[in-house]
Amino acid sequence: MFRRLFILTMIQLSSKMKLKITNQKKFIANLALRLLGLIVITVVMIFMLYFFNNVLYIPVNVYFIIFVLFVTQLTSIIACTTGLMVDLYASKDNAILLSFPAKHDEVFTSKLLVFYINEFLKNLSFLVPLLIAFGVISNLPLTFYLNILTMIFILPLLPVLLAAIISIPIMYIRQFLQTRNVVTLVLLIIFGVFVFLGLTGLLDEIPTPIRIVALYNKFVTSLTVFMQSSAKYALIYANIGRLLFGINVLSNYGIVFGVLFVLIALVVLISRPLFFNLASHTSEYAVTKKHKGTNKVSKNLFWTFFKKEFTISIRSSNEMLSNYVLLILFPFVVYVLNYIYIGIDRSTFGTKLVIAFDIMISLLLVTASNTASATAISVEGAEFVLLKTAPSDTKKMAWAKVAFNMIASTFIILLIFVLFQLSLPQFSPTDIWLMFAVVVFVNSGHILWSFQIDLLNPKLSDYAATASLTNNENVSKSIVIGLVLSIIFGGISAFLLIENYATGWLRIILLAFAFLVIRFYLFSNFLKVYFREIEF
Amino acid sequence: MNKKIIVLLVFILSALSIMAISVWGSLPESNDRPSVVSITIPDFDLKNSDGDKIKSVVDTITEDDYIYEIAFTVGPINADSKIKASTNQSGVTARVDDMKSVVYVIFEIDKIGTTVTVTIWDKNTQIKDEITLMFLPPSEIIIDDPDIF
Repeated sequence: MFRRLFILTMIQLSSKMKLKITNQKKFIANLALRLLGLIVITVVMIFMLYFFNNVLYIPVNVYFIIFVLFVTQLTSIIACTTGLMVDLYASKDNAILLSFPAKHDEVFTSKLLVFYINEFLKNLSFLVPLLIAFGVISNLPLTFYLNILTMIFILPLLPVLLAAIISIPIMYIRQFLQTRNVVTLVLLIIFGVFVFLGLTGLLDEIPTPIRIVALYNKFVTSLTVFMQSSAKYALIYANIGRLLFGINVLSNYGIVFGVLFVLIALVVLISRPLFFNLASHTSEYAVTKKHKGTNKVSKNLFWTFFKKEFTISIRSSNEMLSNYVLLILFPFVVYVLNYIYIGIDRSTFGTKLVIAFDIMISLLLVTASNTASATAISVEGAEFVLLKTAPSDTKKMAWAKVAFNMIASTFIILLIFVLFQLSLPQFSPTDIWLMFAVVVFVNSGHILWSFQIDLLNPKLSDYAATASLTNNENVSKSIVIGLVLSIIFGGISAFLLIENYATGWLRIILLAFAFLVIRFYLFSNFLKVYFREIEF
Repeated sequence: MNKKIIVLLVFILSALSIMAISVWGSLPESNDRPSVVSITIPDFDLKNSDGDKIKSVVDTITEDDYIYEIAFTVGPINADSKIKASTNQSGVTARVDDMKSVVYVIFEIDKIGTTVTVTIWDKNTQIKDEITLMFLPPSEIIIDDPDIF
């Protein structure tokens, strides 16, 4: 049984990390380098803890360690949950692994073991150096280090077992939401409203006019109190923190082992049967079409492609959400920043700086959301060749995609600026709408530029093979160009507004419009020449 | 370059912009604010003949509730103050929240049960007030025992 478990685990691990030792000397050198790396990390941790304790005056004590444990383990639980949702229940290798001459229990256990080993290695490179550093600067006794040794093996177990249980309801919720776009949208709006109310409550605590030193002190004090009080809510991690420090060691070990026993029992009783159920059924045959498709003749090719883009965006709302995720962050950033800007007793020079920073940050978030344009042709994958064989002007597909991205992006930006004006009535409405004009012109120009990047170097075969846009170089190029544009337009805005406020605005808008016109001209010419050249 | 880096850049740029505006774009603070005349800790249980304030925290500070809040008032309200706080015990930390006029006293587990004197003072004028937190019921505290301070 153990041999089979070992083989199954190694098969899965080998696809995630290099396990084969080809050269023993190289392996030993690699091991020594890793050990040196751990020592360096520990030294860095010592300096970091010293900085916290002696510069920021945040007490580095048992509560601090409990807070760090809690936060790092919470991150691990989230990472393991998302990983297990795919690897445990929806992984393509389930079919292969279950066909091996091994018991199904062993396949299930091996999958959890792979995650356990990953967690173990992560803890070894971060948490262990941190705890050792803490022991060194606090001059703690040998028992502290002995307790670390046991925790090295116990800590990674908790997130893996918890994730195996938590992933079940989350997976059901995700499956439920995947087919209900309206419910997802409503939930998102409710979540956004709650975040906004929470932010407003936090900002209301800051008295105006804002004094930046007082604000910094408030921030550090709040952070200290938050970190120190979090031990109350850290559950099992509070027990682990206390036992590390030799407080009620036996009873805390008892609680930790008790929790582990309950978690293992839950995994065996709930998660394991579900794994077999889901791993042996695929969702391919679960889809039943309720409506009958009818072919309609369309006289306008552009409109046909435009409707296609609209339909795709509605059907794959998750993908659209991931494309425009930074635009969701945009109103919150703008609201918090401008609340603080307005709270500072500004000079006229300060007001001009506020506008320049607003333009820069808005453009940074908006242009980074144009990834859909930077992959517009690539995502057609293998179907692009079929599309090009159609006996009509398929270039119109590109214009339909550009138009759809521009309209969607501009509409979201418009909503954000309306919210901006409603939530911050103290801010000059003229400035808000002039900023809107600049952002829309530059963003539209950037959409055309991003599309042009993909037009000149589409990754059709890559996408056809992997169906993934991870590490797509066109996306990176688009984001870098957006970053440069944001800095340039932010800098120019500061310069022109400081020189002459009234004519400054006019010149900024003219510049942004000129940028759009130039990008439009270049894009249409590139499209005419290169679209027909695109090959799979 | 990816979206995560952009989010990080936005946060860095936001912090820098706030600093830039407060340094170069703000009006100078008026110097006509009065100096601190008094700092008072209003919440205490007992006061000895020397005016030392004592507060019993025997049921308030526990292993699960180890942060104690001391409210204070500064007079006049619009005074130009730089409030600081300290304790006479290592392992017991005091942090000031000027905006809420509260001092948070954080006890480490092994210090719960130890008598602590917390001093709140103004750095500009050196005006101060003190309170001693004791782990005894008010009825058992001998207020004029010199050893407790």
